[in-house]
Amino acid sequence: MPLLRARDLTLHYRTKKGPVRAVDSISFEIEKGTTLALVGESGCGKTSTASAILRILPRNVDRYEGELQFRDTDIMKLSDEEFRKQVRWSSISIVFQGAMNALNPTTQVGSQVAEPLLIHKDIKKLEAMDEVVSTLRRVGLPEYIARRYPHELSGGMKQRVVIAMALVMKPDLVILDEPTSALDVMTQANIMNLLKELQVRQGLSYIFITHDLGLSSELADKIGIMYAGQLVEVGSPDEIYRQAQHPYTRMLMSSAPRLRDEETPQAIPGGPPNLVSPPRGCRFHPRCPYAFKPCGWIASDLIDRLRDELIADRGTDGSPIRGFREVKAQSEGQLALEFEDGAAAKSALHPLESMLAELAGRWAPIGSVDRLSVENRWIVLRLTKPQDPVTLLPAHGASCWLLEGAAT
Amino acid sequence: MTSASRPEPGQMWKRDDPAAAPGDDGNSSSVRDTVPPEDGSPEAEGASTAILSVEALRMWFPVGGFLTRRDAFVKAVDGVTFRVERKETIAVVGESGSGKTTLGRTLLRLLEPTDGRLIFDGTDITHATRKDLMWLRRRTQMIPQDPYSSVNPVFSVQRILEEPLAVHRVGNHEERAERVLRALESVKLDPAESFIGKFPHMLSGGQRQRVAVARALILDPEFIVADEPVSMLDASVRVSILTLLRTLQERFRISFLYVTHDLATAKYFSDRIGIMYAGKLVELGPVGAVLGRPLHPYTQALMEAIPDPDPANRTRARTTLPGEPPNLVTPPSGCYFHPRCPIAKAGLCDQVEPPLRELAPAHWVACHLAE
Amino acid sequence: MPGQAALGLRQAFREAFRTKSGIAGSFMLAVLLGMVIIIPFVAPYDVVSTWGDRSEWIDNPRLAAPAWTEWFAGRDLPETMIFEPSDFRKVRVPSSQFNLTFVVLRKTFTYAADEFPSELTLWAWASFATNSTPNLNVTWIRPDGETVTLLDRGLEIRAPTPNEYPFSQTGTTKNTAQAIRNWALGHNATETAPANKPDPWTYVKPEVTLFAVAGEDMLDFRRAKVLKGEYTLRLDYLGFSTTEDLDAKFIVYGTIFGLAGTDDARRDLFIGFLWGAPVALAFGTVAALVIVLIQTILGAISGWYGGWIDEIVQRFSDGLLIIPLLPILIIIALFYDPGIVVILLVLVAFGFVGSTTKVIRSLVLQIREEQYIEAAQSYGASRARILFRYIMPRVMPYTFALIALSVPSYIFLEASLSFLGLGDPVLPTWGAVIGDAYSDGALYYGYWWWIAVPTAGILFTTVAFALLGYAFDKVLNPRLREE
Repeated sequence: MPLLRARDLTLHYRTKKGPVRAVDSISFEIEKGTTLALVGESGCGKTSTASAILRILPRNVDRYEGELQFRDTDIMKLSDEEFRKQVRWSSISIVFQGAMNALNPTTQVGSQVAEPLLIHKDIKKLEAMDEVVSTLRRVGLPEYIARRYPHELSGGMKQRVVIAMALVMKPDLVILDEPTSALDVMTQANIMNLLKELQVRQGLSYIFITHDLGLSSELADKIGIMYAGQLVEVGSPDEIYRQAQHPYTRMLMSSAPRLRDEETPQAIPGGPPNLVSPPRGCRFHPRCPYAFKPCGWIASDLIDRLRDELIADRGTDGSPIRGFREVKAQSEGQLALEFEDGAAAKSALHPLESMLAELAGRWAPIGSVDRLSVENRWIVLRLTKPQDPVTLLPAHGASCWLLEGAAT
Repeated sequence: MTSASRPEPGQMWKRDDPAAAPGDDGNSSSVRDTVPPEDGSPEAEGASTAILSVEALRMWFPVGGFLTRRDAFVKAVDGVTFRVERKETIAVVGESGSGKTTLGRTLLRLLEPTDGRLIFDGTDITHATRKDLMWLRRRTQMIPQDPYSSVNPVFSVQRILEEPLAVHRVGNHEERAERVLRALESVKLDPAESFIGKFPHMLSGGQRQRVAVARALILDPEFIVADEPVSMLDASVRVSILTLLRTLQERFRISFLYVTHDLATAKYFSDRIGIMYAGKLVELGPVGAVLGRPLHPYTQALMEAIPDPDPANRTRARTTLPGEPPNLVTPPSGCYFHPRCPIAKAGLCDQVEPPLRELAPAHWVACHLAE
Repeated sequence: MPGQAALGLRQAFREAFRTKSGIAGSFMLAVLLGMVIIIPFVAPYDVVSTWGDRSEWIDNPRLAAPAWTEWFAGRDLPETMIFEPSDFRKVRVPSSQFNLTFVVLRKTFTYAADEFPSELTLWAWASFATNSTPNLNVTWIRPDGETVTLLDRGLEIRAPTPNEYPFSQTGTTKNTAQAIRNWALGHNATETAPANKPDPWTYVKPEVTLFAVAGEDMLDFRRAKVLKGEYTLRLDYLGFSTTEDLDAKFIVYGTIFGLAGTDDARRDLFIGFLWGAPVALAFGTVAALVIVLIQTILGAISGWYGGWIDEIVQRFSDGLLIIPLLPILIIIALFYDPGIVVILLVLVAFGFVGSTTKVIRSLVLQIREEQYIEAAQSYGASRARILFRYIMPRVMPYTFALIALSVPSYIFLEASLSFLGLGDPVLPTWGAVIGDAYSDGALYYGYWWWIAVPTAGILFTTVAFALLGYAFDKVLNPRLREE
């Protein structure tokens, strides 16, 4: 039975511009003693996922729902007080991004590591300090460090202190949110070695959040690629690093310059999408070089180019499409081309089909046109209804209509 | 009815390749007048092709406040010698505390060297005064690291780009506006007109860095120090900025000093790599040579520490260096790296500072034992 | 930090005025400015001379409450009735036969209030020959038919000067008071003067007794009831030549007046309130503006250039922060009796470094580390250019917030000085009015409006600026936290 099982975990924030769909119905599983790496760029929702798991919510939460089975309890159903006592820190803890810089500069680090113990357990400070020292040793720090102040420690040592803080209550699952982002390469390697060792020795499970694919390979038993609040691909290291299925994963892999590789890195065109109103259908489709018919284009994506092409065509002599006047978007899934009269519309139908077929070879979005029909003096183009391929994830490991047997 | 053709994965859609260098537009990028230095100092004997020559450069910062006088110094850069050729990119790679950022700032004469010489295009600029350096400020520029503070948040993009022109009183109002638009085009912020009125907070991190690059280009410099320009950007954006810099280097024949801690990006954007440790240059050479056959034990350790996405990483511990980088006020004796070096030889490495030796064509290493 | 913008002044202004407190604050400020604007229309006096001159206000009652308090009193309260000489019916009969002049002046009026008047004053002007002693008889005729002779005496030679005969509170002549008292006692009034007093007539209140229902309570101002109806004041004059004349002016002072009541010197407090506004605004704004601006520039220079400039400014600032401003101002005011401009200059002299200097300096120290500043140095921008064109625009929104927030302090400072009587001696500032009220025991005696009105002015202005400052603060602070 998996240690943690998430089903349709959702977290939306309320903002002036509308609800931000930071985490949008993601599902995953972590077995005991393994690491799930959540990889994605900034704004993809990976840190919000950590907040959702640990119920660290800001004031402007719009939606927070889903199922979180930890061992055999649905921890989403616990009250805030129960969650605080039973889950947070004692069963699941977290190493925040940049935590080493958030250590209290006026307190000895030993006391800071002891704090969770003193809050959760009814023990005296002296007892707690014993536990603190043993935890510090486990992360490779000698005992005297407990009496030092943060500014007396190096970056690597501070990060070890923060890891000790996360481990002091002996949790089963630790969320690591970019634990090495502010550290030097050498120190990073040391910390990763430490984390590996701790996992083996103590049977810890990790959720390892990072944007660095190379770094994720240090710990990952399973990798989840996040994009625009969704999980778009989940797989084993071999699958993800060597045979990724989702175009985003592949482009992510080839966008990072590699030290031991001679491939020229390729940037991913475009930018991350707006999480208030993400693209329809597959959220990655505007940037995807393989996007085709079902991926999510809507009338407003097509209208300008279509109009340009038709106007250009109108100007050519001997064009079979006659009497074209204007193109309008009637709804998200429907465009109407206006002609001079019914006859012109009827006679333009077949030439138009050919023109669209030819255009589809040059410009993929046209491929979303599903049906044409003549209605009086209009030709109505109906587009394929955009469908989010996320439903494909559990079955295929990646949410993309390109997958064999997945296309509609 | 349109056929539901599914493209083959791997069949890349043709897109504008940002890496493709656009052809030179008719008029060559505005006349780069090499303004002669005002002090009229003669060119150095045997004028080299190097645009910048760094000789035994030292940058030491005194420790202690206003009222305490001590003889202790933080030796941020401690005796660095190399040359930057025209139209080349040299990457200076090191960890924090290695002195690479201080080196970058000193080369631009934002700091006055404590010792050694700096010669830019034949002119000794080591101790020139602020006023005497205005000509240098036109021919050298910098690109900062943090997209959130690299450009003035209170200025519009137009104003940000016009400032260098205003400082050097270049052109009249129309000419400046024209240059601003061209600078935006060359950093691929299209359409340029839509960007000039925007403020930095309306732009993404990548776009802001492009504005910083445009600002660095607008005076047609010959030498640019790029101080970790992409390390705070997302992985997928880094490549596009670095590719842009490569394109610009080709097009405008600019020399770059690319300061970074990331060997992988240094590999992508540089002709030569210099490795710094504790204020000293420990290895210098062509990219392929240094990364293909690293000779200095520190370089080797650095490369070992960086993971590529490899499923095998999961199960093995990475070999790392013990200890920490040294204290720059009281560095170790002899070779600064010897306390952490796996092959250090007692009696030699802890006594004598290793000089830079050319162990292979154009491949220099500061190590007694490397070969 | 993503998405947060550092603000230039214009952007900061725009955002600040969109917040609720910004709108409220600007609205209140508009009201204040409105007050200043209507002054020439409502109170077009030369305020300085008017406020100090008692005779300007003689027609107003003393210590009258604002007229609108009548709503809450639930009773009819008397307003002042002013009877000018032209209001009197005059009958003048010169007699050359006997070399006499008779003049009879009568004024009949209705008194219908539920409370007694606060004061009665009669002026009479007689012109007569130097050698004669004309006789003046003043009679009070009540609605219940009773008459009281208030005065019956020869007039002294002081022609042609006006003779003032106040016969109410202050300066009531002994004869008049006695006359009233005797008449009252003769009508079963209970004696209210304490026993064994040699001057029982000093306890007579004519404005009560003359209007009181006849009975045992007539002399008791606590228990007397108002006799409503028609009253007549009659002056009979007998002069011993044919060229004499008599005029009179009679004021029955009410207990309520105007929008803000009156003070001890009968000054209309609403005019005082209006006139206080421009002084407060001008002084507060000028002081805040000048001082905060100077401190900002010094703080910015200190933070940006560093070195010995910084040291000097810091030491000065530390030194001046220790000096207590108000006591020094008091001492100066005691010895030199300064006008408001001198006070302002002293404030500026002691205020050119202060807490704002430190705040701005910290801000500049932070901004200095930002990378575009270093980039500017790399393209050759001079230090002065960077300071004034790059750094100051970032600093100015904070400066404005600080200006708005310090205006109230300076208004308070001036009010404190005026309250202590040490402010400008002639201007009717709000503090001066409060000071007068306090020294006359206003609250102790219950003349709450005297203090309330100028206090409301100070509070209103303070809140207006505090809201404006807060609006700026709200706009700037989230940024400050992230910065």
